Amino acid sequence: MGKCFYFQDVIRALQDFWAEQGCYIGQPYDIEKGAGTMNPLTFFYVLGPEPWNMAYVEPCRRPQDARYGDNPNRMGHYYQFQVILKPPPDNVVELYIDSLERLGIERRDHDIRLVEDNWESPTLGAAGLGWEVWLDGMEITQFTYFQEMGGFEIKPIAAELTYGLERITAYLQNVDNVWDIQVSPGITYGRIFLEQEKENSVYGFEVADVEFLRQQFNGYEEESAALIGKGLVRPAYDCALKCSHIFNLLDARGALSVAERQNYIGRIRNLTRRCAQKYLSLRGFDEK
Amino acid sequence: MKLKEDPMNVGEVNVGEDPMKPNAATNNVGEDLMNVDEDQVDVDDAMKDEPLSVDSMKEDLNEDLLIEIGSDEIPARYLLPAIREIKVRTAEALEKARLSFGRVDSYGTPRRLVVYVTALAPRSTDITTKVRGPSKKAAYDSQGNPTRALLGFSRSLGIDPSEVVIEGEAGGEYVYGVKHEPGRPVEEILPEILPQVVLGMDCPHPLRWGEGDWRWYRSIRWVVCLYGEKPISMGIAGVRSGRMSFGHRTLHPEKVEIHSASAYFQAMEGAGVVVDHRRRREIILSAAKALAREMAGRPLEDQGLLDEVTCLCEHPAPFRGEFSPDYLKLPKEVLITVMRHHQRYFPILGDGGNVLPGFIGVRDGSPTRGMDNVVKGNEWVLVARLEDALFFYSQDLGIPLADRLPELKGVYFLRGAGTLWDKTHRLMDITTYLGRSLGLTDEQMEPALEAARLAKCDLVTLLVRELPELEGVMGGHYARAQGAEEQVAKAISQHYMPKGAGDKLPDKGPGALVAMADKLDTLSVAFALGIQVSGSQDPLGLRRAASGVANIMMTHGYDLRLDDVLRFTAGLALSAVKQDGVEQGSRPSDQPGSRTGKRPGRPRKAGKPGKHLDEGFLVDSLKQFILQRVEALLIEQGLPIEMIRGVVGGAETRIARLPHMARALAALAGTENLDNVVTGWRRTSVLGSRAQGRQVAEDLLVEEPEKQLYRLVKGKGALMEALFENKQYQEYLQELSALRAPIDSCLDKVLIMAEDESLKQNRLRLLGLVSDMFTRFADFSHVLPLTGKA
Repeated sequence: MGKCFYFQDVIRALQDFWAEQGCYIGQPYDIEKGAGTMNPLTFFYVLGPEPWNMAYVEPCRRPQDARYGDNPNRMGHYYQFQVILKPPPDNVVELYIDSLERLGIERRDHDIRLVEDNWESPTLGAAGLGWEVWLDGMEITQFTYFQEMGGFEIKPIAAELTYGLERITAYLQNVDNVWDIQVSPGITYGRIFLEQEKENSVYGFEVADVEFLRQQFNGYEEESAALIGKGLVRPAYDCALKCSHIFNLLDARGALSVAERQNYIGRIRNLTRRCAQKYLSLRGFDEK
Repeated sequence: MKLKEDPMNVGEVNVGEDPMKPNAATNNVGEDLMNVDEDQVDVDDAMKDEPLSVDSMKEDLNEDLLIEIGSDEIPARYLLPAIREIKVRTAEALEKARLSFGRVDSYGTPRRLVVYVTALAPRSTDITTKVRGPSKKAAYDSQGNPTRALLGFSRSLGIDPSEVVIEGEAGGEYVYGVKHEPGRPVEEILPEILPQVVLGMDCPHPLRWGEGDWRWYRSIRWVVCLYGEKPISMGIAGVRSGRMSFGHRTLHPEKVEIHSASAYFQAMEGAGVVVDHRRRREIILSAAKALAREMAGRPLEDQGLLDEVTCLCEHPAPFRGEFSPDYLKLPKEVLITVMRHHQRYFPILGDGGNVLPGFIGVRDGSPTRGMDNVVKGNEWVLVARLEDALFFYSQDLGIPLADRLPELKGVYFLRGAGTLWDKTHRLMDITTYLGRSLGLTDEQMEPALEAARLAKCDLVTLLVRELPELEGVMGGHYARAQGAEEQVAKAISQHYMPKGAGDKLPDKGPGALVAMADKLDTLSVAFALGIQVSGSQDPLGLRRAASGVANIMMTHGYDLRLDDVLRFTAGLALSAVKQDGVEQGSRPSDQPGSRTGKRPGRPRKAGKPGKHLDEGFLVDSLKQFILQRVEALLIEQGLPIEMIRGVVGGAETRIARLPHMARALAALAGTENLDNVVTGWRRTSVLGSRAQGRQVAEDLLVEEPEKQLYRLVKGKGALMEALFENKQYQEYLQELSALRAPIDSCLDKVLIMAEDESLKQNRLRLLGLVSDMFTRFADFSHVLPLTGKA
């Protein structure tokens, strides 16, 4: 297997690899979110007892991490490649290393290390144990065994592999700057995304209308709560995702005091927890 | 007996040692039998059943045992404790199962925990025990026939009721039977005990996985268990054991068949795994030294880092990378922190302790193949991090620390006790209080106050947000670069000291003042919030803070009264906590105004409001907490525990004086003086404590001995006061010792509890006066045992 080069090659190789392992190759979800984990197919499907294997590219928006396109590898918008394996096969770590070899990263020619890194998402009520994967000293993947989602202990547990696509590609292309990555022959990542990054940086840090965002947050929060009451958990969860993104914008805008910040996080967690609870009870898997 | 070669060539196995000989590391057969039997003995503790015989081992059948638990990568910080624990648990389980063995050793890598037992017996020992049964009266009916009690007893031993004997004094006769438990084969016992040895380990933060909701450091993937050449089959966390292991993840990902226990280490070497962590550590250390010499430097000595990288690899391959000398304009602490904490590299230091533009990393894999990729990749990552740090550093330098003060209003200190802005104000107040109490003028206090004002400002700088472990240090750098006085800069950088046991103390002066103020405030606020320290639960490092305060006061000789200081800091802490509560309650902007009704409450880390909000209680708890650390510090200084407890329990709260007092008291050990002092205290303190007031009326003293004692106390009062204040504690103790004779004479010849109430009260007050001279120095009840009069 030759080395992958273009950004699109990396995505395609990972999709092929995980499809061969029996994963459904999913598509990105159409609401802004800070991490691939928030995709409802991950959030809901790791709850409950059925097996679920899926791989997908997910765009992530983190207004707080935006740097006006000045930083070589920090961005307010980027892509993750996400794999969910529930339950995880015994050789899951081996499979992961095989997937790197599919990209042309031959294990014997590099240093691949699993360094403890436990993960939790306060807004999703999610927690897991795992590692960050180091490739020659660089963190390229987050590897997590979910233990809880929406505040509920999950069984069987699921493994989540989150590849940092831009970093891996930059490494394969031997470039220092994400914006210089070639996504396909003749097209750079910067050409497609740099202006968007700059505009969104200005929006998130300087322009976003705080009052409007607060109203939006309150509105989506109310809507979500009402929908949970009606047993419409998926639209309710969509509203919670909206809250999460609005919160991130408010945070980037510097509009939240420390106390408020905690308060907003608590409100989102409350929504996602209730979504999870309702989802489980509607499906007859009530909390024991 | 078969003599095993040590398969490791590096372990501590004593080849040829008699496996039956009890030694500290292994088992003691005789003792063990008693333990085993305890469960089965029926009632009376006074009469232990005695083992009658132990059959002798057939030593030539002993074999070595290998257990390897293969797993996903165990977090580095848990590995060394896990290696120690599994050894202890294995030895205990084997002893309990009456399996004799030579010794147990354990090893580990991120992917395997390994136990190696030498000369393990093929069977557990047979034992025969005499067991006491029911009393004779209960065992036989009036016709002399066995009762149900006796039948049950003999059935439990597997013997006929006629086989029991009767022993004991008339009236206290009991039935005894002999219980024979034959040994069992090791193949049968190991599967019963080993799963619990492994799964019962104390994993601090275990992963839960699989059908059985197994819990361990990480998922268990395979288990090897070989007794000599024979695989022993058992299930551990859903995995069946056998002789199949796996090699290194990248050097030899395939299965490895292990032919015998003693062939294990060799086989793993062949599969790219250095199982012995001690050997990996040596390989890393010696290679790191050699690599650093290539740059005429030496690797930074760091035991913690060395342990961590040892636990992050199975096949260490150290390498050296370089970075541009341009980055050396970053402060040394920044360079070291980036390399050490974030990348787990050893920084390379030059002769003068300066950082050289290179580092040593440890790859887990081949020392040659692909090494250029590894070096290049690591250099790339480090440069990206240094570039970030340089950017943050230059940004931070552009903003004067004092301009950061308003930003502190946006950062919480401890939830429920306001922000860092509030903390800064308390820090300045406490610093002022400490300075004044020590008699400093306002001018002398100026640098400390300025340091207190700026101390927390670096917490909102970009670099400290990125590298929080550099708090304080960076504040010092920025203050210096922005033109602050050197004493101020140094005090800022030192105010977190000491960061742990054995860490350097801040210098006497502004640094020490602010360091004490910071810790006292953290302690007071945490206690006012009801935050508890228990066992290993001390997330805020309160023990360390208390120890720091005590150590600074004692080492720098700050003659401060602990209770006065704590009354001041506790007062500030309480008003901070109350103030915060008020603000929270009346902040309308947080109201979501939603239909959801219930608003998620602000989770208070603190317990229920209660006692800890009472100032007296708060001061007392803080005082006890700090005095415990004083005690621990004095124990470290090698002083006798009785003397330490004595002075710590006495009335003196200037803790800087306690070491001197304990030393003076220790100097009396074994002398008659000690006996005199303790006796003087013992004879006066109980009665003295019943006195109301200390006003002795001279005209009510009628007997000569009491007059004499009073004259003595009055005459010596000023001298003793001076001796005490001047820290002439040996002389003070001499004076106490000299009081014994007059005390004895007074108590022997004068009836204290006189019928005349006024005489009695007057005498009690006199004894109160005398006993104060003792209790001021120590609570001598702790010292009493040393005089043999406890």
